[in-house]
Amino acid sequence: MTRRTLAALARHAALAALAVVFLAPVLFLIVGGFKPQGRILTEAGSWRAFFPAQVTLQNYREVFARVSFGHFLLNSLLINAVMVACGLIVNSLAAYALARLRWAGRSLAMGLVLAMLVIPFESIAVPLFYGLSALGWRNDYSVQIVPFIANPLSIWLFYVFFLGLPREFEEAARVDGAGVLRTFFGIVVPNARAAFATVAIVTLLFYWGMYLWPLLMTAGPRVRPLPLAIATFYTLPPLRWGDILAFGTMMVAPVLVLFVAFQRWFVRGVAATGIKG
Amino acid sequence: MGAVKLDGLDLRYPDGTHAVRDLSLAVDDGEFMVLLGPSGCGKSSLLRLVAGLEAPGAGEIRIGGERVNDRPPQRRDVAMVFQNYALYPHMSVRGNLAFPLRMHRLRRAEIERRVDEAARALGLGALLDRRPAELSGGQRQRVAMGRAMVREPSVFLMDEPLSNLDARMRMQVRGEIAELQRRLGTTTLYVTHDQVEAMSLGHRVAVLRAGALQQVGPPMLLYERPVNLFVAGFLGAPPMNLFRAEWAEEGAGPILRLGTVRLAPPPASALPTFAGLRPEAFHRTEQRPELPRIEMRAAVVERLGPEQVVLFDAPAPLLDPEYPEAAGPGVRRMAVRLPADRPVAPGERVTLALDPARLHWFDAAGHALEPGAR
Repeated sequence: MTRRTLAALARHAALAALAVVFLAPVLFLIVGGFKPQGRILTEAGSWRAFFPAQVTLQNYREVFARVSFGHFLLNSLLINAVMVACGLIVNSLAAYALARLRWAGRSLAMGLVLAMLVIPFESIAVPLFYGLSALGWRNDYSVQIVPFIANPLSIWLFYVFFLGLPREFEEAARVDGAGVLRTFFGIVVPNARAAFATVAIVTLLFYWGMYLWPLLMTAGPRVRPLPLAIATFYTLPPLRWGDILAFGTMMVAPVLVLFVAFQRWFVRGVAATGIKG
Repeated sequence: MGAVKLDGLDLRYPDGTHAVRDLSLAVDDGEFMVLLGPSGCGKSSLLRLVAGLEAPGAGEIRIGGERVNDRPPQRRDVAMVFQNYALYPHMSVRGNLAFPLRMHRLRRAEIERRVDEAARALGLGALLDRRPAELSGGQRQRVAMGRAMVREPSVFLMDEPLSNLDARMRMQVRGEIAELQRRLGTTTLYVTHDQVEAMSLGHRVAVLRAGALQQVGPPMLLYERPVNLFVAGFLGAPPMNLFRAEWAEEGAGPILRLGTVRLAPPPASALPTFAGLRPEAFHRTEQRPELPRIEMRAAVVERLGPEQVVLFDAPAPLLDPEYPEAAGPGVRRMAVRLPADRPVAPGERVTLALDPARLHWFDAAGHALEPGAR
């Protein structure tokens, strides 16, 4: 064996070890959901945690019996779909204005966007809570959507991507007779699909599991999303880990499916915008 | 209707680059005007000013007699061909050709008619459903031309449209552009740094340097009567041999000296500081026995089929044609164009006849002096 193949082997072994570290919890979640209740904790410390000796759907049946999963799923889908769709339009337009148009105050606006990147949501949750409560928005879908449409991270991702697009396409479109908006929607958007896919997935990953804000702003199951439903299994006895794992699997599945479906674009988008992790 | 008049244009970029300086130029309706200059001379900036992609700091732009300074690009009735073509990557050739027509809200039947017509004129018929990524360089170039043509604009703006093609393709497309422009009769502003393109395409050529206009005129006039050292050195391949004039005192007055050879008395108007000789000012001695002779050693020989370009060790230091006013050693080789019938070998000493009537004279500031009068 040459030194090069040895080095390659070592590299792959290291990568495989890392992959195990990252994949183990996910595998535990999925496998555990299909195990009989009694085995989950007893097998948790051994390799058996990842191999169901006995497969059952009992946990899933119980999840559907204990909460109206479909209702919460629809809530989550509605909230996130509207938020992501509106976010794509608003944030891409804002980023385009910052990246390409000349206007007074542009650098100030860009500075504010960057500053907002480092402000954690928790620090503005309370003022937002009082502000939106005063508007009477509590216990509604809109209160879970509107505050999150404009998103500094999305703006920044689009901004970086637009800066990397060759200007000539847009200039050609302007000379060919298109105004700013037609240039944007007709020329820029079709060539920025990777950026749109990236931003959509990043936003979705971030907000799909949102817990604190809906807990603050909503009461009762009517408009609440999936992550709040999982609390039922902790707070209402009996505490059954199988149910929690089954619920968790079903909650992660939609995002996972989307991610795999758009993975190619996503990777390209990440490479183009230069973001990591 | 398509005349372009630029008056006192000035453009300074935010980074401080002074790209265009107080530039005035009038392009007649239907004229093919070439903007020629080295890279960074402001020729592309000038084109972008006319297109409306940049706003001038001062001056006026008129197209078809109307002031267009405050109009956005889409309302100037110009079409532009970009250096890298800027074909929309997500659209087919048909989509690219139709885009400007759709933007101007033409009827569908009219769009189809014009796209078909342009495709036929440019031989793009078989490619209409392909994407730009599936086309060769020459095909892309033709689609870019087609996209400019279909609009039937009053002015074409072309920014080095041939620079991404190989030499053979460039020559072919050059001919096509000239023919197309003649047929359509559309006013054209064409930017290039290639003086062969400028000479072969332009009705008139405008030479730019550092954002300022140097000379405008028909190509041959610029070649034969350059107004300054820069134009003299920029036009022509190989460029004019420029040198500092050295005078020998004789009974009748000063005589221009090149090495040991006495060439000619100065023009009547003034005593020139610089002189220039085109490579074709040299002849075989037997062809022009009456002319003064100069002997030089050949250093480099380029055989170009019917002729040969020989670079001789210069009898006196020459100026760098690109920066003629720069001090320093300049160029050491004197370029001479000779017929190829008797090949010159490197290292060979050759005696040539030199035609003093073809001397160009320049004053200390580099401006051309009137020749002729002795």
